[in-house]
Formats: sequence, structure tokens, C-alpha cells
Amino acid sequence: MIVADGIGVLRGGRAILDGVSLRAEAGRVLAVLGPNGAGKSTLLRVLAGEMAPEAGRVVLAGVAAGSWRGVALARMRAVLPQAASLAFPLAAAEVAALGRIPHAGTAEMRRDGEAVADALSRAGVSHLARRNYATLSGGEQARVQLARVLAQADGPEARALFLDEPTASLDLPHQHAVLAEARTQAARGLAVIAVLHDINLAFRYADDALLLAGGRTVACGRVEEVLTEAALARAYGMLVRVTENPARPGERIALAA
Amino acid sequence: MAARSAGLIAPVLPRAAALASLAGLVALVSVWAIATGPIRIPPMEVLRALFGAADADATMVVWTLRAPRVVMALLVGGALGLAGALMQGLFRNPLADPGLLGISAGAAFGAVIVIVLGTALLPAGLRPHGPGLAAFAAALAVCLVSQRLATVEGRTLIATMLLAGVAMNALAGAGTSAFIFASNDLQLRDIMFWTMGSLAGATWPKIGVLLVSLLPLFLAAPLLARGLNALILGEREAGSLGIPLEGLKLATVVVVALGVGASVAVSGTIGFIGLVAPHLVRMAGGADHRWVLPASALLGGGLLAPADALARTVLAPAELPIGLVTALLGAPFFLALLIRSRAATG
Repeated sequence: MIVADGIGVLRGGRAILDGVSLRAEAGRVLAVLGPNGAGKSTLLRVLAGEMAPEAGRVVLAGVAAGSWRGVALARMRAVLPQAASLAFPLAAAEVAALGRIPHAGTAEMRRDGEAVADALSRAGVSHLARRNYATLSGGEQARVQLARVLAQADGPEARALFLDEPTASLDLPHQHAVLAEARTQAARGLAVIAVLHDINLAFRYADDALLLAGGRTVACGRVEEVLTEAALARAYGMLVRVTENPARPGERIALAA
Repeated sequence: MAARSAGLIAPVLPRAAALASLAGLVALVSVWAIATGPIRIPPMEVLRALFGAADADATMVVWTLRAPRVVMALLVGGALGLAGALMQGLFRNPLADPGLLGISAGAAFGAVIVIVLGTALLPAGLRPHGPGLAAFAAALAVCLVSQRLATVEGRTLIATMLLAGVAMNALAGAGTSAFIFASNDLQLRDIMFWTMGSLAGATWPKIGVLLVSLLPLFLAAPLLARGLNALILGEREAGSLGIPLEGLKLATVVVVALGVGASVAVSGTIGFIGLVAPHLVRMAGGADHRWVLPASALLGGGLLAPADALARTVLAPAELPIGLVTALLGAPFFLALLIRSRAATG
């Protein structure tokens, strides 16, 4: 479980985040939404213990974020950042295998090969394993990075998964496949926090949502309570219609009005 | 074939087997280098001499003249190759090498200062080693200054360190030029040794000291491989994989400074090995540092030993500076590689 209380981050005298609080429970998917520059990625970094906030505190699995030792933290949570390029050519399988670094020297290390193969298959990139990462398309690279993160989270100490725009640059089926995998990881008992831009993916796959704008919380709670027409209008400054999804009765859908 | 273009040997040979083959190749080249010289000794005779079963003349030439030079070439080349691989990994840049941070130029400058100003300030016992000690100290000083300049609030900014290195390089180069301007003919010959490199001074006692000075570099490398692998992804990703980044940066820079300082102290500055060896190694077997680091050390030695054999035979009895040979062979070779890889990627 991840608890954040009154998070504030300043950058160059400007508040990037101001008084943001949330709880991410084990077994649930929490979507973080908001317009560009709302502070979503910064919040993810703070929650993942990668960055210390100027104000407030974060508790990860019962321990203050600042008290985690690097390797233990890396076994407890995995982070998928937005796309990045490699300094040197590696095969896709080698990239995924880097996720096993935190498990080096533990009993888990025996499972390295198995964990990497499983992660590649979950991310749908087993067939790309031997390919040079640099020659893959943007979407394929993103899925290889997801495989790396799944390989990292494959261990008994794993408690949380942080995904920063995991669906960016993916085609429609792969967007759904990646978030279905996020649900599978939640079902395993992890707390999953994902930054999303697509409100409808949040309706489909998230249990809870945090809506940010200008570094402040617009709404936070269960997805249907957060992503309302009023809250979305306040966050995005744009009229959004929320109605029942004709393709999936009982599920909501948001349409730009 | 797609995997080959990424330079992945892994499917062909396991890492240990690939390293063993490379080591075998380096051993063969070393025997050839010992066999090569004004008096040619057949390779089999070299082997007999090494195991003490040859006649006295051959044994003398092999053990006191040729073997020390070849062993020194293996150590210096190994240190430069490994240091280059570490720098490239740390800076996430295939163009980084020990020369880039100003370590080599700084070390040469240190030696040149002592050559021109004299060793009067040193205790008598250390005077013959004055330039070497100064080279070693200057290499460390350059590294520490760059590191301090680039460290803000406990975090070392890699790009800033690179820029600081460029400035240190220019500064050391200018300093060396100024001292060359002020030197006499005798000093000038000495200075040439440091700026163009030579393994002519190889003796077993020197090799002993060199080996001890290189231990931190060779022993630390296996411990740094995992962190440098994570760094291929980026600094943030490496951090989130639990790599202690600041420790990794400091340890890498310090062992490189020690290793390059010790190498320059015994052989002057020798270019291109640190740049080319890791490149070739990555092309042949991929970018995993558990392969790149040991293989660059092996290949660095395996390139420098035959280069030195050429340096001492091409114009025999005169000797070419080894730095000249590595640059003359290395630069066109490197350009050819670039053109080939450009053609491959279209």
C-alpha cells in the first residue's frame, strides 16, 4: 500500500505539486489523470521514492519513502518511465533482463531466465527477443520496457508497480493488452499506479483515480466518483460528456462535447 | 541476421567461452610479438625459452628484452582498453575514452613539468621516478578537479564532467606546449617520450609496480559491470533499479584515474586503444558490460603488444613512438569501421 500525504514539490520557485494526498491499495489500479503539465509524472516519481518532495510524506509498504535502501526499494516496486533510448545496442531480451538486476545475489536469481521469458511473453514481445532494441518501432520499444519492468516486479518482495503513460505510442489492441496486464499484476496483490491520458481506459481498467490540474488535486477516489463531467471540465477546461458505454452496459464512457 | 547487426555473439558462444577464445588469441599474438625483433626467434623457440628449455642466448633475449615489453604492453593496453570501456559506459557515449576527460593529457603535463623544472625537490631515491610519479599525481588531480567541478549537492552531472574534461584537456595541452617552448634539446627528447608514448623502458621491477597500481582498476571492473549495464537505460532507470549512482560514478572515475595515471607513468600517453578496443568488442559480442569490460581489457593488450612489435621493428634499429603507431593504424581502421557501419544502417 502507498500512502502520500500533503505532497508539495517546488521547481525554480514554482509549485509543481501542492498538497496532493492519496492512498493506493494493494490489488487495485489507480489512474492518475490531468492535462499536460499537471504534475502527473512528478507525482509518480515522488510516489515511487525516486524523488524527495519539499513538503509532505510518502509511505511505501509501511516504510517512509526516504528510509528505503536502493536495492530493497527496487525489489519492492518497479517503475516504467516514459520512453527512453539506449546508450548502446542491446537485444530486446537483454533489455528485459536488466530488470533482474535488483534480484542479483538473492535466491530469486535462479529464476532470472524464467522471469525474463515470462515478462517478454506477458508484454507480447517474445518474438522480438533477439532483435536489436534500437531497430524496433516506438510501440515495440515501449512493450520491451514494460517487459523489463514486469521482470523486475517478478519476486516475492514486489508490492507496487508505477507506469508512466504505459499506453503512449501503442496501437488500440496493445493499449488494452498493457492495461489488462496491469490488472493481472493488481490481482497478484500489487498496488498499480498508472498515469493515463485516455479517460475511457481509466473507466475500463482503473478502480480508483486521481485527477490533477496545476499541481493540485481536483478529485480523488473511486473512478466513477472522480471522473465526472464537472470535475473533468474543471481539470481540462473543456466540456466532456460522461455517459453509459453503448458497447459495454454498466461501464462509462467520456466524449468531448 | 538481425541479431548480428546488433553485435550479439551471445547466441553463438557463451560469454565464458568467448572470453577464453579471446584470451587464447591474445596469447598467440603475444608469442608472435616476443618472436618479432631485430633477431627473429621462431615462435616454438620463444615457448621453449619461456619455459626455460631454450639455449642461453634465446632465453636472455626473450626474458630480459622482449617479454618485459610484451607484458608491459599487455598491462598498459589492458588498462587503457578497460578504462575506455568504463568511461564509455559511464558517459553513455561510445566516443568517450580516458583522453577525453583530460586524464592522459594531464598526466603527460605532470611528467613534462618535472622534466623541465627538474627533480631537485624530490628525495634522492625517488628522483629517477620523478616524471612517472608526477604523471600519476597529475592524472588523479585532473580527475578530482573535474569531479568536484561537476558535483552539485552531492550529484555528479555527467555532461558537466565531460565539458570540464574538455577544458582540462585544453589546459594541460597548453601547459605542455609552454614547457616544450621553454625546454632544451635533451629535455625535448624526454618530453617526446611522454607525449607520444613508448614501452622502451619496460623492466620486470617496473612491471611489478605497474601491476600493483593497476589492481584497483582490474579488481573493481567486475563490480561495476552491473551498474553500467543498468546505466545503458539511462540515469533515472538505473536509479530505479537500485543502482547507487553516485557511488558508481565516483568509483569508476577513481579507478580509471589510478589505472590511466599508472599507465601514462610507465609508457607516456598512448591514444586510440581506449577508444577502439571497446568498440570492436561491442561489435563482436554486444554491449553487456560483463562481456565488454573483460574483453576490452584483453583486446587492449592484444592490440598494443603487436603495435609495439611494429614500433620496434619497422625502422629498426630506431624505434617509432608507440602512440604514433596506434594512431596511424587506429585512425584509418576506425574510419573504415565508421564507413562500414554507415553503409549498414543506410
